[in-house]
Amino acid sequence: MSNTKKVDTKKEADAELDHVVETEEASQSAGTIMQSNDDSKDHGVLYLGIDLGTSRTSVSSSNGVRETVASYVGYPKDVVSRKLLKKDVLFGDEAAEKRLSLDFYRPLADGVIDCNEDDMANAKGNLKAARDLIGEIIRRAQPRKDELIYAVIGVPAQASIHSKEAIIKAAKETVDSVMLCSEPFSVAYGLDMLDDVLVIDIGAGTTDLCRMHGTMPEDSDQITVTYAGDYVDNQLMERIKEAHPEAQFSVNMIKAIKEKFSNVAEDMPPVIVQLPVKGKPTDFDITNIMRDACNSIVAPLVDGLGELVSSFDPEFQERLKNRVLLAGGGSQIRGLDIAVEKYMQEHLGGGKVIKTEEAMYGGSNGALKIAHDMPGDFWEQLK
Amino acid sequence: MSNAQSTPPLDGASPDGTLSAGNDAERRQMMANNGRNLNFIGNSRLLAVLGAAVRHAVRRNFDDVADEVLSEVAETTLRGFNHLLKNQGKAVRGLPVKEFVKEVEASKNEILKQREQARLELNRLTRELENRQAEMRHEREAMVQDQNVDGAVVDGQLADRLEELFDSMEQTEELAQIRELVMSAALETVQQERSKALDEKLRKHDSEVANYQRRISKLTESLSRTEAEIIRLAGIKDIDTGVESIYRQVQGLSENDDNAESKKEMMMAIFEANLSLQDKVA
Ligand SMILES: Nc1ncnc2c1ncn2[C@@H]1O[C@H](COP(=O)(O)OP(=O)(O)OP(=O)(O)O)[C@@H](O)[C@H]1O
Ligand SMILES: [Mg+2]
Repeated sequence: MSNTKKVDTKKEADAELDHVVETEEASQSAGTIMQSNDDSKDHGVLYLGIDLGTSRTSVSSSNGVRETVASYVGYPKDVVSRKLLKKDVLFGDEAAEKRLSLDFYRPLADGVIDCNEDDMANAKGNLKAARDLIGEIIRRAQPRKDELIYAVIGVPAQASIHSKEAIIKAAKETVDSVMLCSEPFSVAYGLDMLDDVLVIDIGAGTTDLCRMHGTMPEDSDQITVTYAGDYVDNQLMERIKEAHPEAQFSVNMIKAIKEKFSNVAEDMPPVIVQLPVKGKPTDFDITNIMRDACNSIVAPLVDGLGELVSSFDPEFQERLKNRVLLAGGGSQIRGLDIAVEKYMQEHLGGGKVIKTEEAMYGGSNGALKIAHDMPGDFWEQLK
Repeated sequence: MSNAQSTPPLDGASPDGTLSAGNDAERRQMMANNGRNLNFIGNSRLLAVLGAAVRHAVRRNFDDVADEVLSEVAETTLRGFNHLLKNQGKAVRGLPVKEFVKEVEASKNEILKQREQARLELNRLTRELENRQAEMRHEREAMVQDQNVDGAVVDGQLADRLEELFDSMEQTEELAQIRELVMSAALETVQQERSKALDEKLRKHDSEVANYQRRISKLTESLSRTEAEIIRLAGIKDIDTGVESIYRQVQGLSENDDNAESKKEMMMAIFEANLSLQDKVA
């Protein structure tokens, strides 16, 4: 690898330079510009794996702390709300609850920090919110102040350069060294599934499909589609509206119902929910609606898989199909693995699907593992 | 080729404007704390100026330098400089460890200092008061005694004078009676006046003591306030703690890892991607 060589030479050059300076320091003794205060020995190294998602941001940390927070940030609208809320900034569910008295942000909408140049005020707000959210998730990992913090942040595969830069800047305010990596990759890395794996990371706004074949996936190994959690929510809403036009509900109510009852199994237990009709709570059986809505993402996702498989070396296509990894919050739909397998059988002539056990922390756990495995001098160079 | 000072102004060396991110401000603070001359110039600005200086110097000293060579020289210099700049700090979150610990301890120390000061002040005042009270007790005793001694002398003199006066007169039975009356009345009046003066003096002492006592209670109060503040601070447990990492040192891939080779390559690829990304950020 030519890259390896380049880095080595660079390292050598740096070491040489250090040596020159050291010698000069020794001979000059006073008035030098360098200081050799190597006190990195007596404190520890804290690794953070962070999954920066549209709907949830999670952290796994080498001190054993794991935390997750909904990716919402809110600032009190005025002095009165600030006095009432007694805070300058609110995060997660707390922010969502109080959103009426807040300037409310979902800074990673669509998986990227939304910094639309046409709307400067909003772009600035989003950037600040992203920065505050990153700061908050790091705080929640409870780092000791005397430890070096090295963080790997998994970002959506399609994140723009602009938002990647913003994320790095934000993180550098709190950590000593930071690296980004693609979210589906970190999920697979965390499970040691590096060879011939297809990852389906079902988030809120997007699903990332990623082909792993032993090396770092490239752009051509990744497909991002919008058949994800929000899409299922919309399907649910439309179908309920059509079947029961009298029922009243909000997006958040539907999302909560989905997260409780999501299922695609033929023999799924009945789903009876209470929704207000003219303000009066009324029972509705939405079993079939739930199944259909959850099922609506299966076909387009398998189509995406088909694309990644068919453009791969024919010799290894079978292997790839037999290692499909379902991850992300949306993978918690009950029976989804079986439904995907069945659809693959019908349309791709077979396939085997594995579900991650930890949908919530799959990404951050993987990022933590990458942080751990990263050589120390790489971290140094990115300081 | 190192006489950069004598060369004419460099391209793009106008005074620096504002600094963008807080990170820069932190780094600037760090430099300022370390007493460097670099503290009024942003990092990126510094590198830009340095790059210009290098190119300028090479061009001046060598004819016909190829552009590639020039960029190569500038790049190597900048990389080296940047490396040294970053390496010298061994920073914890952008601050050298010592600075950081200082910062964390500062607020706690400030309060401890206040408490210590209040304590010292209180001690000093208490001691002062005790001394003063003892002094006053002595003064009081002395005053009373002086009064008695002096009084006795004065009384004696007055009595002598009156005796003389009466002796000079013709001695009658009547005069003897008057003499007795006058003598006792005069002495009584003098003695009364004298004890009034003493009382006045003692009252002054008392109000002085009261003043001391007021000051002491005020100090005690402020001391208990700082005490409460300390307890409150101690209550905020994670003010300077956190959960310790299980790692004391940088880790890296285990050689025993089944996929060590391919993982190494992946780490390299992630690193390279981030290196070029962060070069853009800088
Ligand atoms: N039990 C569940 N059943 C179905 N969907 C669920 C369940 N729990 C969570 N979800 C959905 O998972 C989605 C969030 O997943 P995840 O936390 O992986 O997203 P994210 O990583 O923040 O988003 P993205 O990957 O798009 O940036 C939401 O749409 C949520 O409603
Ligand atoms: Mg995700």
